[in-house]
Amino acid sequence: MKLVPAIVKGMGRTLKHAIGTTFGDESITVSYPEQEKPRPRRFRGRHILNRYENGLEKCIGCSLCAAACPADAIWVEAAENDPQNRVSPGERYAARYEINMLRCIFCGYCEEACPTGAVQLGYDYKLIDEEGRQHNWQDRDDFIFTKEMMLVDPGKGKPDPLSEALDERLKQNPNHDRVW
Amino acid sequence: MPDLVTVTIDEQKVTVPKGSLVIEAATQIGIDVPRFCYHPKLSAVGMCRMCLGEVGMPKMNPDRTPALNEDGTPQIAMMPKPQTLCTTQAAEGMVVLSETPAVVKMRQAVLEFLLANHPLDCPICDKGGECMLQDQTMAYAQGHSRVQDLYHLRRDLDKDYLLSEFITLDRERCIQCARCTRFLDEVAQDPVLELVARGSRTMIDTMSDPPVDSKYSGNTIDICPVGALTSRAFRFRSRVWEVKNVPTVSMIDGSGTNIFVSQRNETLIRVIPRDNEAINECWISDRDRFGLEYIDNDARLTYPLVRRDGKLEPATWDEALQLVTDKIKAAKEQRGANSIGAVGGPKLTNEGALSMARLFGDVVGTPNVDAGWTPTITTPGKPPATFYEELEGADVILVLGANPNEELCSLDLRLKKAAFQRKAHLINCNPYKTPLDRLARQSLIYNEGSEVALLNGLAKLVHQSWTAEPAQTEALRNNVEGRAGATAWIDSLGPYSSNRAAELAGISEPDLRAAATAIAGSERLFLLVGEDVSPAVLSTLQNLAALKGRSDYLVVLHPEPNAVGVRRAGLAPREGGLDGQGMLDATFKGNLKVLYIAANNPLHWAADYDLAQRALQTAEFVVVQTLFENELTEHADVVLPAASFMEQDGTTTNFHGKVQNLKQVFRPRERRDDDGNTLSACAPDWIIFTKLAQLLGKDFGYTRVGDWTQQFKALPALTPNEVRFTPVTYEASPAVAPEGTFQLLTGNLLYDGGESFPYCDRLNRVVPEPFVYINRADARKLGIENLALVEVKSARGAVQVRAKLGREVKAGTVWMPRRLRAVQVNRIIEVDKPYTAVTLTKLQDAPPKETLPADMHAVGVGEGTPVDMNISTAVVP
Ligand code: SF4
Ligand code: SF4
Ligand code: SF4
Ligand code: FES
Repeated sequence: MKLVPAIVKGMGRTLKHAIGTTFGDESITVSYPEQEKPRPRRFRGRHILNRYENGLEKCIGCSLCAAACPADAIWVEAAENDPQNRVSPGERYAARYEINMLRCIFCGYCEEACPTGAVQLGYDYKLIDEEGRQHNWQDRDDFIFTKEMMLVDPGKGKPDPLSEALDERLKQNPNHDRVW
Repeated sequence: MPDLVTVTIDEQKVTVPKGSLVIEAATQIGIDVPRFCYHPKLSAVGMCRMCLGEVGMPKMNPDRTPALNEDGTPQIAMMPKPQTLCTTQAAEGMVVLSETPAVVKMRQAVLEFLLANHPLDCPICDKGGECMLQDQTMAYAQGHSRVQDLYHLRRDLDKDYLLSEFITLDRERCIQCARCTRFLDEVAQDPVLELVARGSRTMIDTMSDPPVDSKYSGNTIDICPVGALTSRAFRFRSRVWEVKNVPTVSMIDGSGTNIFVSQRNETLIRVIPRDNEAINECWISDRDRFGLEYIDNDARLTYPLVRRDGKLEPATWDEALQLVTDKIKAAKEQRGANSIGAVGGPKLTNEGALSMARLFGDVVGTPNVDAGWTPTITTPGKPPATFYEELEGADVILVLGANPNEELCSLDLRLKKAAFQRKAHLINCNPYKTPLDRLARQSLIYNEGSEVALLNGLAKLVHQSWTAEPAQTEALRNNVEGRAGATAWIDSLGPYSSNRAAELAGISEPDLRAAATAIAGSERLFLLVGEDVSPAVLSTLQNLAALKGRSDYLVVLHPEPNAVGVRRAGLAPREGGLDGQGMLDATFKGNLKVLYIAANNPLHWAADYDLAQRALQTAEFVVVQTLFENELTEHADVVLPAASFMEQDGTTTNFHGKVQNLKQVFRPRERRDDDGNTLSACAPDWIIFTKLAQLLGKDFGYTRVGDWTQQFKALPALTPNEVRFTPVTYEASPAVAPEGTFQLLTGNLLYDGGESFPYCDRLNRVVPEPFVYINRADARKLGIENLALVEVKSARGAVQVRAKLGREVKAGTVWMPRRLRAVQVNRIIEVDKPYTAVTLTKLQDAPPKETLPADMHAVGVGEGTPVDMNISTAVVP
């Protein structure tokens, strides 16, 4: 007989939320894809690669993200910068930077390992970019994201003290060879 | 048995030979004392102070007995200050503490200073991951620095200071440990790097032109404990932990150098040494390090070519092999097996050579099989298994007609070690000066062709010494008397009085005497001889070796990788067969119809270029098995793409007979379509030969390379060790060049721009321009100045090269490398004469002194690169 009040209590709560979400502003579902929920500040979505204010890439091709990655999802091939035609500050840049999104477990270790704040797990969880790039998801190869797919404009990264400190450092050192 | 001492390190007892360093003793019991400047192969200098430890000695009573504690243990008096364990010698009863709080504190301080200039740019540093400084910083550094804003005179210097074609220097990373300079001074004996300037500005710079002029310079990259010296070929190509290091053996020269090949994604990333105390220790030559890139080159052949209507066109393996089979069968039916010839090369593996020998010798049944185009001698008998160990223990080493510096790099380093560290009496005999002369106790520059007279003169002097003083030389006499051929041999020495021998050889008589005295008194005499001296010279050397009662200390030096193995495998003319030279002759005369050339090139290696070319042109059917299309394949009717030594398992034999395993690093090179499907691939030599045998009707039944290896290992040695005497007399008439001409001497050059060089980007850039060495006095008479363009002309032809003046050659002789880029001496050499006489004509003055290429800084910091003292340092976030 003790069950009855418990059931009534439980159903009462259900009823409260049913009424609240239908008529009140207690809504917890959103009508995706027209609406999206805001993501927390430290959300770990699909990767982005940041740039400095002057447009140079932050990534220096050091492969530390690849070393940290528990899923072995990252492939980096570095090359030497041509001072006339820089890709990144300093001597080294990533000539090839690829992440296999089928392997990635979105743990964020790559972001943590990155010494320049270049790779970050962004707010996007849809694996397609804002322009709604039409992907032909037919092949495993289609899930290998290239550097071009992940690079974002300056200032579009997640807020991050390391990244900002390096922005500052590049401003002080315009000839680029000591940032890294 | 050397004296032993027992020391206690961190409460562990260890017994080591007296004179060992504490750091070595610690390593023995697994205590890893932090270090930077100490290296087991280099002298200890105590420069970095990282290995500090507390050291104590047992206290002594006034009566020299050990003072004891109450419990009977010895009292220890600790030294008031820490000691560098890399310079402290272990002593009986010593107590060492290597990890006390005080020691750790000192290490932290040392690191603070070492890091004062360091940019901590590990993420972009090629050393990252195998860097001692990185490891020690992780272990001991404190995360802040009190000195980095005070002493940073180097921190803001330009990065990437190009030291040489191979090495780049980051001066701000250097910790002045002097490992690099010590290696070049002590091991390579090429003192071309120096520490320049003083104090916080001290840094490394090159002192030679061309920069870092050493054949071993790449080793400084390995031993640099930080990322100061890095490889320009490896620069930013991969992180060290991302590659797979495959252990194999380099088939670049005859040393059999042990290497690791780092590969990533089927590309060759770098080549690094693999320790092997019996062969190369921990060193490799630059040729090994930077000269193997050719294997990973898109110009490699990946499909067979067959000549159709005068043009080489791609074909399938089946087509090509069937065609070769048909031609061999047809030639055999029509003209007999003797109309078929096969020449392999020393770049074949043991298995490749053995399968080739079996295919042509047994299946085809031709006696015309060889491993090269010119006659070479081979080591009689078998060198000792511990060859280098015994060589280093030798007290007298005689090198004749060889230049290890340009031919056999690992031997070169060992000879330098023997002469420099072990103080062996090195007698270097050559018709011209070689780099080894600098270290040789005696260098005998003899007249080319007078080797027999020289050696007989030596032998006679040795014989005289024991007849004069019988008591002292009992052993010598015992070695000779009663031996086969001894009496005849002693009689044959009659005419070679020291005066006459010295005169024939063109050396001074006292020099000859001194050499003879050294040989007579030696305990362990090593005789090393170049592979292209005549068999008569080898016999006289055998006599010298027999004097000491040993035959295994006479070793022939083969510059080419598997020269010993291919001959042991049976690539040599059978009964009544032709050798390489003979086959070219017979082909030209039309007697040889099918010529099969594997891993060789007569246009490069034959004594006579014209003959080789004519032979190839007249030949009816030429099969070439090779890695690249080149001038030889232009003459081929079928070209078969062979796999390199990195693309197959197998074994190779080095010059002193050591058989070592090759391990496959890459898949045999393939051609693929856009979807990544393999269309065709090259194949290891042994597979090609085994298949051909199958097509010719003989199935060896070998499907794995191991089957051939087994067969190879079961082969007997070429010749047994045998102590014997053979009388040899001096035949060649003394060379007197006609008035106005010079005797042409030739020799090997390591960087000769040969077949693989065009595919090795960096190495190709250090290949010198073709040159000829002329004696300074001769040049003055002819009005030729250094670097002038001259024409060297023989009765057969002429080549244009740059003159290099010096004392490398005697008056009346000139020296040219056998092959150097396009200039092949075999185009002008007169094969049928004992020597080639050439005339020199100046064509052009020397060019104005060239400025160094823009990317080569030759000026050191000490000479005034400005250092801005006031650069504000950016704050590390
Ligand atoms: S988020 Fe984790 S799994 Fe994904 S790439 Fe980064 S490190 Fe690898
Ligand atoms: S993203 Fe960061 S960690 Fe990865 S390679 Fe680039 S700089 Fe290095
Ligand atoms: S360059 Fe390297 S090996 Fe040479 S002194 Fe500097 S740190 Fe030592
Ligand atoms: S290792 Fe002992 S001082 Fe450098």
